[in-house]
Amino acid sequence: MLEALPQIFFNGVLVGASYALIAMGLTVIFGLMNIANFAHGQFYMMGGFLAFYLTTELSLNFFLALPAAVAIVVAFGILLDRTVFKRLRGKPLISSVLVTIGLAILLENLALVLWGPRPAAIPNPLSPDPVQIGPIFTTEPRLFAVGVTVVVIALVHTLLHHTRTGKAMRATFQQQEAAALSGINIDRLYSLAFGVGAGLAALGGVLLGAIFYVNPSMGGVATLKAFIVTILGGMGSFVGAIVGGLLLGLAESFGTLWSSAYKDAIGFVLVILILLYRPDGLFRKV
Amino acid sequence: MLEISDITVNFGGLAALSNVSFRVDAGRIVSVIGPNGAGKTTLFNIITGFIKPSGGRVAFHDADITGKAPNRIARAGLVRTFQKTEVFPELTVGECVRTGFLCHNYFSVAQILFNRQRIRAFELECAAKTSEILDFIGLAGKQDAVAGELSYGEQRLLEIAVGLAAKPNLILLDEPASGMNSEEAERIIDLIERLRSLGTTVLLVEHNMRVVMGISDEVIVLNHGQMIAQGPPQAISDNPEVITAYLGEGWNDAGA
Amino acid sequence: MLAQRIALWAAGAAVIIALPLVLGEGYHLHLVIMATIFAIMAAGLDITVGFGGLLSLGHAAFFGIGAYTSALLYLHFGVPMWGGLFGGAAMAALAAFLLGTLILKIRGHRFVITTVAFAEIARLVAYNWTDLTRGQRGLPGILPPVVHIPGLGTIDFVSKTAFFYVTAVIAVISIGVAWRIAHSPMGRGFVALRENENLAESVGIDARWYAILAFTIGAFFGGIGGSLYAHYVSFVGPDLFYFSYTTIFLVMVVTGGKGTIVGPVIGAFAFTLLPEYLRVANEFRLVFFGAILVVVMLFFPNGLYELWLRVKRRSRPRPSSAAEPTDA
Repeated sequence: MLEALPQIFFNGVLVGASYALIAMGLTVIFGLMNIANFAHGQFYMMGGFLAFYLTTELSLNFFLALPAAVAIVVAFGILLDRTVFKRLRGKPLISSVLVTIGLAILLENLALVLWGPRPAAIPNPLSPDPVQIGPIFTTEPRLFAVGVTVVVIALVHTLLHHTRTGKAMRATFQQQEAAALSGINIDRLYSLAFGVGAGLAALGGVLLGAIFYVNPSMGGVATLKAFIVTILGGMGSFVGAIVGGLLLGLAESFGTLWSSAYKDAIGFVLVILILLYRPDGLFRKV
Repeated sequence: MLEISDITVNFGGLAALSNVSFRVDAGRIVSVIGPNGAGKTTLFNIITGFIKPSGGRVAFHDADITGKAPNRIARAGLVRTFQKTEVFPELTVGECVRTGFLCHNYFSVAQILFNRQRIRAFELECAAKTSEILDFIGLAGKQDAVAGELSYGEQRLLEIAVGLAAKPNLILLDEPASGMNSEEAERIIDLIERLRSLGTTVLLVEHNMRVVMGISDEVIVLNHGQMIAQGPPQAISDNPEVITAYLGEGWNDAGA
Repeated sequence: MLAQRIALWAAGAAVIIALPLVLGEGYHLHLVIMATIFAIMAAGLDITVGFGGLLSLGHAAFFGIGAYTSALLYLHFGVPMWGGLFGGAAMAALAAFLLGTLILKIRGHRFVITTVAFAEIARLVAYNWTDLTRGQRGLPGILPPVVHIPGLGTIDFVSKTAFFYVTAVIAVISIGVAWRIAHSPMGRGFVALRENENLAESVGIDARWYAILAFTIGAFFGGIGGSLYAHYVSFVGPDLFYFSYTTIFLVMVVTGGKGTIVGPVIGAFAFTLLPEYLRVANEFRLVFFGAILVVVMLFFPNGLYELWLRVKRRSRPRPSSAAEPTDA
């Protein structure tokens, strides 16, 4: 049984990294703008489906389809912020919950109409054959996913801490009025943050769609997991999203040792426990 | 009536309050003053259970209330107002005050469904008492105004009215005269005197020296979380340490 | 005033009695029965969400617990719906009370996620504890009651007409109770909790206890709804715990007008009937539903009830002279 541990660990990190990626966008939106976006998982779904469409209908190379799909979702996210989410700022939590639930229903069913309910895998040039690294078996798409995730997270961190825009963003999130007074265009920053958040989720969708498959209802579960990770890690904290995501992924992976049926429940129980003893999550605001 | 012993509060290495001790006897009006950041509101939060102290004891009517939940302390007869005015924004003035009556009146679901007589009697009582309180406080006729739409001064009065509905033996007023002109401040002085005549003991935090000197039986001075002086108003205003504390910190002499 | 109220009640009773006779035993009566069941749940949820200000995103859990409890009581112990109603409601209330006691030290977004997690855990249990629940195959054969009245014969509540009458009576009682509670001193406590928790605490209101109560009461009505549903549809499955049910309940409460009891009841009828009328759009039905939800919530956040009140106010002749006290 012990021989299985490295594999379980790796699986947990893989899943956890994708959770982290999807949650990073949500933690920004939820933790800093105080908008509960229940349609966040739909960005993940859209990323996957756009990549699928681009590679199958337009015969685009997978490695081009990936950034293209992400870019489209980023643009869509910005558009959504300008039209819908702008109106939600400052409103009570319940408004954003219901509006975004409506949005989620709309997007999910639109996808259902356009693509049908059957799951489809995103064709890609990476080989699905097992690759062995030490005691761990994996596949090229999985390694690719982990690699890309790590690079992107590092990129986001750099952007946030070392560029003018990034610093302006952090300043705005911490002190909206002061930032506005110092001439920062808040609306534009929020739109950008929202778009990037959506793009990160979309990236997750493409990567996972290449490993497994995409289907229109994958958004719902993604939203749920993203919220759990966000709250676990502490809303508004990027580091928290990363640690929370890994924690959830590992917990679920190790949970399969006990019962694979209830592995999803583990995340939920974890959340309840953490909220009881550390209501602010593991980390605090960035 | 109220006994504070050795209260200490540490916020992550910073001592917000250190070894503060004093007593408030029944029927008196005691003011707590000090420069901004001296720890006055923190003290109130400790007494009323909104923050737990790192050390020390708070006793009310000889019973230990240190660290108890605010609602329990309120039910023991200790009510407070807040530095930043708090009301129930979407309720009317009358409804706000009625909420205060819940302090000493709890009705279970069974009573609500099956003991309609008792509930009706209670509501009538509430209606009568609400008018009384609003008259006392000076908001008569505003019963149906929406709390969130009142003027700042009116909201402050409303907050006190809500507190009065809870029938306090001791009421803690956090800067009741803040943001008021001299005429309004006079009315606050009058109100506090009338509270005393009702039998309510008053402990207040205040920056407005006119109010403080005008009505206090005793003044307590805090600076940097420590009590630096205690005594009747005249003694305090002559106290050199107090003067230094204020002059050194850039004292806000509002209204004096 | 009294005459007006009696007239209103009489009219209501007349409508309820006439409805099944007009609609017949078919699909339309089915919709009305569903709407009535959901109205009970919406009224209860309004106490939690509208009055207590607690955003519970796990209400499907109580729907499901009520349904499964009632089903199991019937299938294993032969308890008819009458007992099942109490059993289901009690079980749901107990679950809410325990969860609330554990969790309601924290409120706000954290509480929201906990309720979501709870509903999901309940679903997973229903799905996986196959010994008890038969998993995704569900529990069929939960029959509505059959009542023998000596001298009058037998009423089998499998008839939609009969079931509707029973449901309507239960609904009137339940919604009445919810209304009473909401407009009682306890209800005032809920509102205080919602409007300003710190102020409420400072005048002796135990915020945590009132939150637990508001949560439990909402769950109780959820359990009643679940039990009625189980006996009406004759089948329960883990899908009752789906987030989509929670969504529907919440939508009914908020678009109807939260914090009014009446609003959510209206919302229940509106949103039971709406998806049906959207059927003309075929596969785009839910796309439109989503879009409508977005629009309504963005532009009418206080719900349809407030809209109706506004319309009513405008059509009434304006009061003369005396200045409105709240002229902003």
